[in-house]
Amino acid sequence: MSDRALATLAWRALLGAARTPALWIAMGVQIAFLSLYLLVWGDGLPLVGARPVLEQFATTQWIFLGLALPWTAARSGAAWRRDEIAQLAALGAVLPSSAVAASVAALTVLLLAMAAAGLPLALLAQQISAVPAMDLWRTQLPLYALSLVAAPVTAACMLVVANRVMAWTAASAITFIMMIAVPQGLAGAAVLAALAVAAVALLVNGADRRFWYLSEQA
Amino acid sequence: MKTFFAIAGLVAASIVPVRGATLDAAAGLGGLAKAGRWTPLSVTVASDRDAIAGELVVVWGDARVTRDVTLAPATRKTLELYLRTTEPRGALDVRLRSAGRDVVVATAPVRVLGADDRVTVCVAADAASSVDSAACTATVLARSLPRSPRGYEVADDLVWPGTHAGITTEQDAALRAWRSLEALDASGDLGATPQVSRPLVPRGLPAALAPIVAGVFLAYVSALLLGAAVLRSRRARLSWMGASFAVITAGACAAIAAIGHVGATRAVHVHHVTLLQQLPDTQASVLTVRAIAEFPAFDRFSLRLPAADGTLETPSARGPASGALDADGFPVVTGVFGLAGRQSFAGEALVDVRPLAIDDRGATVTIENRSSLLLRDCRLGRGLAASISGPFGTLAPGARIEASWAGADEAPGGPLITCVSDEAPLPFTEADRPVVMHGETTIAAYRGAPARGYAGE
Repeated sequence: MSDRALATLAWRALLGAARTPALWIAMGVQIAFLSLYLLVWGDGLPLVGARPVLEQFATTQWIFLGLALPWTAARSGAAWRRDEIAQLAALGAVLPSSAVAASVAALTVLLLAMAAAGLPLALLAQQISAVPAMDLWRTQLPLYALSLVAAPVTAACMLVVANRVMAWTAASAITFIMMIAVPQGLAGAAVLAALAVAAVALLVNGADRRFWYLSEQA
Repeated sequence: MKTFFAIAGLVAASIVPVRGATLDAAAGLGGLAKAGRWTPLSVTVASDRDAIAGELVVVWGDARVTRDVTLAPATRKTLELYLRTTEPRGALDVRLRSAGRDVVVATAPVRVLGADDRVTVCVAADAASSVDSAACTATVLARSLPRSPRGYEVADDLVWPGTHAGITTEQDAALRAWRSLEALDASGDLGATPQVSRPLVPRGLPAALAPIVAGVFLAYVSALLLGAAVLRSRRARLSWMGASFAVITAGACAAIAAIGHVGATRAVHVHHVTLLQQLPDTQASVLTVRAIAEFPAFDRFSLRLPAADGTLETPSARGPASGALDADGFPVVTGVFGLAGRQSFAGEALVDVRPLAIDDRGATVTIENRSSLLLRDCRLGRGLAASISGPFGTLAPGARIEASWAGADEAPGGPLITCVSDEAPLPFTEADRPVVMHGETTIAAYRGAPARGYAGE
């Protein structure tokens, strides 16, 4: 399959996902929740030895996205189930690996947009904290790396567990384990990005062996 | 090569000291100081050759005061600073700093006395004059007397035989103000005056910024959802939506970055509780303020109290307070603050604002509001009764009331009258931004010394 066909497939997956309400609901909830957080605790959480507002905000953003990214991916329609991959491969004459790659690519763009939607709020937190702009990127890059890794993880969970709720729960659990395991800051972002690349490679490489046929339930 | 020489020049400039800079410092009233009392420090900065643009840093115990200094070549400047500390040391550490390093350093020794030690300061007209040294704890030359009543705080008594000549108008006003304060303190009127408390400001984003922030994010989420609705209705292409998403997010970032830099959001808001005590028999008042400043943007600010004889203290991590003065000697709250950043501070100043005119004629007292302020919640002092009929509580500009002593058996105490104004008598200023004051000022006026003691006689 050519790169152009793969891009078309990914584009169609992305278009379908962008037209579902899930992404926009998640973005709206994210902006509303984080706005409310800043309006109420914009001058910092009153804790002993509290860290700067930007770091407190980034931690809140991190936890929120840990839950919201897998949910958005699972509900978007771009995270295809195993049977959908097999049907697409048979009817569209494409390799299952191409279909999986297109799905993950669409999910990655979607989740990056989701994480990027929080940038204006993080900018406000940085202005409140009176810290250099570099600190803003130091807190935001791990979030973008998190969306990179949440895309293949959720795609894999949807392929293994057909039920959306179960897949979201499993993807959230795996994402949270990764969030806890990686170091903080830019080092953590690098580790997450590396994990994302590894997860995509594993998923795509094994797709042609596993997803040629419909499941027995289909 | 040019770049190399430019860098080398900059490095050399940063390590070459200011040539010919000298610093002389003398502390204390006659060299005396007490814990918790203001102590004067006279500093003379001189530069024989180079111009100086730096900062004078004075540390004494847990107190720290800074003052910006600019000096032309071959000139000298004498500055008077005031410090107080609960942990006084035997000397004040004075440093002139420029570009982050010490240019010249000096120490000013003081003799620290106990709180109960009685201090009598004698004033000599000049070095040739003789005073009764046995009665004097210290002797001060008239020309060296402090320019602020704070400078006399260490003294219990001041002896100055003969005519009071050889001092400036400023020194004379400071001496009168101190004597007036001492008399009020001795009579108990000062202690019976309600003091200022810290203003209460709710947590969260400041009220001035919260609606703007909420509006920006509401517009942001609305724009995104509108774009989504257009996309869902198949009236827009995905590429168009992607570009719109980028533009909307960038627009929201720009709007956030503009907060505090455009329009009404530029203003610094100061929440204050102020007390203005009109000193009798002088033309001065003591202004005491406790305040919280709310800054509108991530920027450098210098919030100035426009009173040359004053101090603003901000709590610091090192100790109870630190103060700063700008190059003109005005007290400032200065530093880099974040958007919605808050800074609490307290201040004192001697000002020439006197909203109330008191005409004390023994049995009756006439009080007139000579300011342009509407004074509310006016209360007469104990033992005084207004001779007007009807409710009394508000004094419009130009309005006057008469009051008389109600009875001889009740000893008066505290101010003759207190009123409240919603306007600050001395609003703060900032070089680049407007300042909006929130809070109230209590104005207290007292009887003069000759009239004090009339009631009850």
